[in-house]
Amino acid sequence: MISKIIFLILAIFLAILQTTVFPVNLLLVSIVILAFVWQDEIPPFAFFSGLLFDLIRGAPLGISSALFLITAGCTIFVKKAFFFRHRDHLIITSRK
Amino acid sequence: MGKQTRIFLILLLLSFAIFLFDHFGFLGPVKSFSQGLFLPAQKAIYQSWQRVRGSVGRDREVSELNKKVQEQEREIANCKLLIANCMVQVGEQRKLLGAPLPSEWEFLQAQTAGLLGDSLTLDKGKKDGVYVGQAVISENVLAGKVFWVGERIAKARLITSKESKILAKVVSAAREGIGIKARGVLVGDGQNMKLHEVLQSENLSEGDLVATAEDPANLLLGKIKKVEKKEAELYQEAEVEPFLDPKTLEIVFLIK
Repeated sequence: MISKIIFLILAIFLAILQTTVFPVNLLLVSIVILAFVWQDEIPPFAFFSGLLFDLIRGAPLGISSALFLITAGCTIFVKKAFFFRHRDHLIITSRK
Repeated sequence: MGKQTRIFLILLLLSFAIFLFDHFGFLGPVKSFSQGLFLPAQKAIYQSWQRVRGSVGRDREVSELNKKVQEQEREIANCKLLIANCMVQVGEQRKLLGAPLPSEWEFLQAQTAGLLGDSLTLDKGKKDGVYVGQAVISENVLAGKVFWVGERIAKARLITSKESKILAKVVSAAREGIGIKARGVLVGDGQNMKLHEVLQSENLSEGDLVATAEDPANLLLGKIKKVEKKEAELYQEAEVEPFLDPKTLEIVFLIK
């Protein structure tokens, strides 16, 4: 829970930072990284982070939410696909 | 369809719904409120960034300016050195002009480039017309004579050298009776000089001036420091202190 609160504070800070001085989508990068760690728990955070980002930068609401959600979904998909392939490999090698 | 997938799709649809709501202007007050909420933080971060960037930029400017200042200081130091050298040369030439030397003499200015033992190196050589035996003077004092000439440098043997032998005359330094008192041969002993072959009948006294009796004549050499009179001998001797300290010589003149 604490890690989620920290992430929200960090998300606010990163959103402010990238709308003021740092022209790199740090929030998207952090979503990708956290999608690897939190997996299925990440979609709500991706959604709210995107909403927050749009609110702070004054862009049409919902665009970043959708983008972050899709990115998080893709990341989770890639991770799971890699994990399953790796698991099959482990099973095969253990049978030998 | 799993629970997580459902949540994912619901959130995605919600995003599109929010987009549509916003597009038709239903979320205007929410946006306005949130922007007012985050604006102070944005301003604070931006101003801090500007300060950091500004100070870094200023630091760079300051360091560049410091470099320029240092370069200019070096240039100024070089100019000062040049002026100081010029002043030394001008001073020496003024002294020479003020010295009681024959007007027909011509001089070649030379700078000292080294002093090894009793050999003074000069920055003039064959190219400048320097020749062996040429007298080296400073003001109206004889410093030595050239004994070796290279293309661009020359070496002069100081009058204090043990190999130096000069015909000299002793001039009274007293107010009464200024005139030539005696003649002798001045020989160097490394540090000072000794006046030899002065007849016992001559009355030498401490402080008497010693000048050249040979060509170039009437150049000062030193003054008598101590008279050594031995009754049994034909000649008396005197210790002569040179007027010039060769270590302090920077500019000298060669008599053409």
